[in-house]
Amino acid sequence: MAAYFEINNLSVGFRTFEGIRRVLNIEHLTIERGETYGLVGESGAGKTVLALTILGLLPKPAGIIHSGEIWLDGEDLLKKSEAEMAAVYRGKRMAMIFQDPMSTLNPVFTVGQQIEQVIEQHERLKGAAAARRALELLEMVKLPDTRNMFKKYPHELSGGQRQRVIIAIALSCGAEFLIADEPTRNLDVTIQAGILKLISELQRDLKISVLFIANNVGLVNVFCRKVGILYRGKLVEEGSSAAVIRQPLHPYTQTLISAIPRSKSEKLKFASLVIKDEAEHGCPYYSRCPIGEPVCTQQEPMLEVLIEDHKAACFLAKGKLA
Amino acid sequence: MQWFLNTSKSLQPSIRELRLSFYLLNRNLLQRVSLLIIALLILIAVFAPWIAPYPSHAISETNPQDKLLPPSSRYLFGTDELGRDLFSRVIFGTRISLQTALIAVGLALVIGVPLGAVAGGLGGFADEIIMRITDIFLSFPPLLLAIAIAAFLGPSLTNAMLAIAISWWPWYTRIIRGQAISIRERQFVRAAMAIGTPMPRIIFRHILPNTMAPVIVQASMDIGGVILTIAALSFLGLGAQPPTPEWGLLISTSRTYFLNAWWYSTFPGIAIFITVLVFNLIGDGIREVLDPRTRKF
Repeated sequence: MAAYFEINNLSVGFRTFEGIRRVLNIEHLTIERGETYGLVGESGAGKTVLALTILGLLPKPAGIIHSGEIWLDGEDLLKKSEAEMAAVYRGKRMAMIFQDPMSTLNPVFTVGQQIEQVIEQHERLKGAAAARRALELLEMVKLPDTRNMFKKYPHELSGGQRQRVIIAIALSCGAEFLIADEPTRNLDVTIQAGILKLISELQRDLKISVLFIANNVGLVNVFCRKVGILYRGKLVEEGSSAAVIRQPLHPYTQTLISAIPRSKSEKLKFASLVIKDEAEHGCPYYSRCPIGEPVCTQQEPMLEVLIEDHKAACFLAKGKLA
Repeated sequence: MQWFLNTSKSLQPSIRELRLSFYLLNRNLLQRVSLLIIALLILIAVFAPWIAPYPSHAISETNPQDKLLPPSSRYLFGTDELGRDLFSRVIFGTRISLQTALIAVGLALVIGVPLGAVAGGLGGFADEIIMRITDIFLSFPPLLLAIAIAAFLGPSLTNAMLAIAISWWPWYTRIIRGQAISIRERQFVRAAMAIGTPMPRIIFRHILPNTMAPVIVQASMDIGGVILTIAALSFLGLGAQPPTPEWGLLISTSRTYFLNAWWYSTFPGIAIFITVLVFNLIGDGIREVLDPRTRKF
């Protein structure tokens, strides 16, 4: 049986002044029902582009989808019309939480009005019924004093509270697939933990699938079963989060993990920025790779299963294990 | 800004903001005087029938035996060629000027604002069409366009109002479009799209309310200009028709008697001058207060 969510051979590019630039090249990615998939990568790796592509919100006309399929519950999203995406998919089947909670809410409406608007539009509930449902949602995301919260404007809430409201709105219409694009960015560490806990609890209770996008491997490890490492639009390593963290195969993953701050005594190892010449046909990571060898400049490594259920795209890692 | 007015925490932020703006406006002496005069003008306009000593003179009652008398205790501003009290007519003129200016600007807003929001919000083809139409309108000098339209529609005060609205709306469309384009790129608009909100709803519920501030400023600054334009149209015979006591029309008829009856053109002229001046001053003040960069505490 096909997976609940599946991406095949997706290739996305942007039309720029200098021609078309490919930003995303994902051969295969699956998420099972009720599973959380962590997608990690540095800024500019293509994480947000992937999220927007799934929702069909890629900026037009700059963004182009060259090829590929995105399957959600047996339907290819890339074949849907814009009207169908807006009416059937966005909000009802899938939803997204954006990076910056400070600017995701409309400043001129109260929290309650914004939730009600979405409910009225999607669920044919009106007035008091919509308000009741909105209050339920605010309670679901564990906001204190919901009746009062209902009447507040976004600027009166803290970052964490706003992100909870945004999660409530995202889940207000029964979406089963949630894309969380760095939902804890710009938040305090303690509040981060609260939001992560909330998302994982909701995921368990509502049995939704989550694509969790982050730029910190440490965050993903906490509650994602599977992790994919994205570098320059390509998956360079994928596996269960425990395996990837314990035994990172790709040198890029290793640098990412060594960049997580741990204890005082341990000195932080920052990724060395010794930049070599770009390898035109070779590994995209070659120019920054601390262990690159001539073989890496010849051709591009493919994402292959190296250890059971643990894939990586690196000749050297493959050689070491063989 | 919140720390500034902590006492009014329970008020809605927009009202709080409005109160703050009013407070800041009121601190500047020039603007305080302007505000007072505007309040006075509004009072005069509303209570014109009670303030004017000869309300019937405002319309058509004539007293040929009193024609063209200089200002006196009986006729404060003197009388016109038909013996009507100029003071009463200028007072009723306040009512006409304020009313027509408000309606004309309101009409221009009703046309211009939604078009601007659609142009900026949708972008692409709709944007092109709407903005090229505004370009056509903006390529004429505003007064000339208003004159042409008023002449085409036929001379009357209502048509003058329409003419002004038609020649004025493209300015509001431009402002709103510029705002809408920047609001469209904000995260909450994208979030609304991600939750499946249809485009018309995004434009009118999410984009439009966030674009109103600069247009309100512009509209309040325009009131003075519109009063002046209406007076100009009436002066040219394209606006109010006799016996309406419209300021521009009063000045227009006074031209004939200019050498013998100085008061006839002077008092309506002063009325126009003061009204336009205070509205421009208050418009400048509002712009200063609403723009955080020029706001002074």
